[in-house]
Amino acid sequence: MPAYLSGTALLAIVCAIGAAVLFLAGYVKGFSSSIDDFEASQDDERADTATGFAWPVCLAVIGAAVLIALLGISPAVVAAAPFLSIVSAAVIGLLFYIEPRLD
Amino acid sequence: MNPSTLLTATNELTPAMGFGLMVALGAFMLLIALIVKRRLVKTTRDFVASGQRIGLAFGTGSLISVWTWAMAVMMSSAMTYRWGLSGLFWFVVPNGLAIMLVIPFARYLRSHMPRGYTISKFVDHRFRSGVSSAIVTVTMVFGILLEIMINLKGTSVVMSTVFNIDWRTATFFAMVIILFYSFFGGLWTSVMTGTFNTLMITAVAAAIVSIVYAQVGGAGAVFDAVAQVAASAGAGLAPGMEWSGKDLLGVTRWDTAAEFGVTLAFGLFAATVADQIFWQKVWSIKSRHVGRSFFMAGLLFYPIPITLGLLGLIGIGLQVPLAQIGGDLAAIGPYLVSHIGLPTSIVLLYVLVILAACYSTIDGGAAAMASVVTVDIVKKLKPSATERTLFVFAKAAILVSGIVAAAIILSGVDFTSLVLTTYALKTAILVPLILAIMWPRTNSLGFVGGIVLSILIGMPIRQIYGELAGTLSILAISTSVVWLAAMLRPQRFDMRSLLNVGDTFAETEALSGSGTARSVPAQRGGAAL
Repeated sequence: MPAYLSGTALLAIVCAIGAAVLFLAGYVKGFSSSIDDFEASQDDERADTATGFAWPVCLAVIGAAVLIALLGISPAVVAAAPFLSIVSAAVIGLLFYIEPRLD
Repeated sequence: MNPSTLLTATNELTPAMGFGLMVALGAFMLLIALIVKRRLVKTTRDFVASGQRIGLAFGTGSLISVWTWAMAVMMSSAMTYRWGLSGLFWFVVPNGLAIMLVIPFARYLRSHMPRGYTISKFVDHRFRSGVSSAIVTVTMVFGILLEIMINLKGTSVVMSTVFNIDWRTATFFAMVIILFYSFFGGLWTSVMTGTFNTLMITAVAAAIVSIVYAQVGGAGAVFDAVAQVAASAGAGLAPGMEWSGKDLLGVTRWDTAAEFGVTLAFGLFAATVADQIFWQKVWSIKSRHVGRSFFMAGLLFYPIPITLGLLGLIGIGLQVPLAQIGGDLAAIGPYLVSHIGLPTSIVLLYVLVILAACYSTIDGGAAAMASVVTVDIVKKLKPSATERTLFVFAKAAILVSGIVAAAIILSGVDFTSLVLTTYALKTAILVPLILAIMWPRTNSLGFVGGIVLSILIGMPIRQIYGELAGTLSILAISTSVVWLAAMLRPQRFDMRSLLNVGDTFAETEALSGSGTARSVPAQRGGAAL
């Protein structure tokens, strides 16, 4: 097995494929929902009632800062960091499924 | 890690492959664009504002994609390579925050002015001053052009580094491809293609970075090599690496903050708050998802530059001299991926990641230009413009912005300097614009005076005393002038009056008797509240 397909890289590839499948399934669903929405041709101006962004924003910023600082502490964190990008892809895919429940 | 054995170029990479990759991605985007055009675009409002029907997931994905330009993909590696983890820290932390900082202003304006479409239109109604709105319109046009240029430059850097394609040819080729598919579908196309591209810059990029690390010996080997470079900084390093600093694994280097971190942070905040690309999204995402979309975009954006920035550590560990990558820090990522003996397919995937980032930001910029031209220029100069005229101008704006940006970039500019200069200029408008939105006592004298004086005084200070002093001066001057003008000429703007601002597109549709012709009075009623 070539060096570039060892251990963590192989796991990252498998996880990335899983996230991609979730993302693409969500994407297709979202695309067709957008078309249905367009054909319904109704204005949707319901107010943005979501509140309390301040703390989540602070936590996100602090989390990112701490993560970068931890990269300099242990190589394990360096190896693990790319998996967060894979999580990002998976979460976007999930948002397509979560979105209708927020309506 | 051994530099002499690892740095061998992947041989099979030919210019034809590079062109093929650009065309293949463009063809896929065109396919999406054609479906979008057929199913989702019937009026100028659909073309410019996606009918205000973008959902949470597409809103989040498209925001991430327009924000992840060559900056995030290549500069994160570049800043890590130049400054170690402190470079990554100062590059990444304000980057995600910049998106989330838009939330309060976005929600406020969307609810108070539901059919705004552009930030210049808000300023126009806020101050009733042609000069104020003209300054903002010009700033938006200039900002969009620079963003297109920077990303074109990013495309050319990666294509010339990896495939040895002449950068001018790569720039021209990329622009033609992007303009071709952007022409169909406008903002919807940008949103759909951009969201797809987030898959490339997240999951695919993560797999590639893990593969690159495995190829060079793993995270442990890179970590040890960087620690060794940090311990023997200066003369003990390979020729051409003398600039490398000492604390490469820490995030608390003051010189990083002073030389680029603080300036970049304020510039990034200005780049979102004072950028029509984002304001166009504010008025195009379904109103109830505006806050959530910006939050999720900021949160999910963070891992992208962190992941790609890790390539910079390999550059340090392998002690790649700057001259070896053509003297351009941004080339470190593409250079490494294509020079460590990886299979051609992996290198091609990495190039696709960068192309995806560049394409999505450029088409987002082109779509934003269409909104500025239709709402702030054509409709303002000729209120009786028909739906058909507006549509033609929206499409023309996309073409012209691309052509102008390509023409300028072909003259040759330095990548990093261009980025920092853009951000410094945008910083001048940051505080006056925020105060215009949130502080009713802000008046046109303070708004215009703050922007003009901060540029006239702040830019020379920046030139003489450097980035940090210049940035802080610009912010201080613009803030003081707005406050002083409010004291000298006290007046209070009634923000509720923004609800009476008409819907540019609905009015045009009504005039032309076309499209979905939504009821303007109903929108004025402030349903979003």
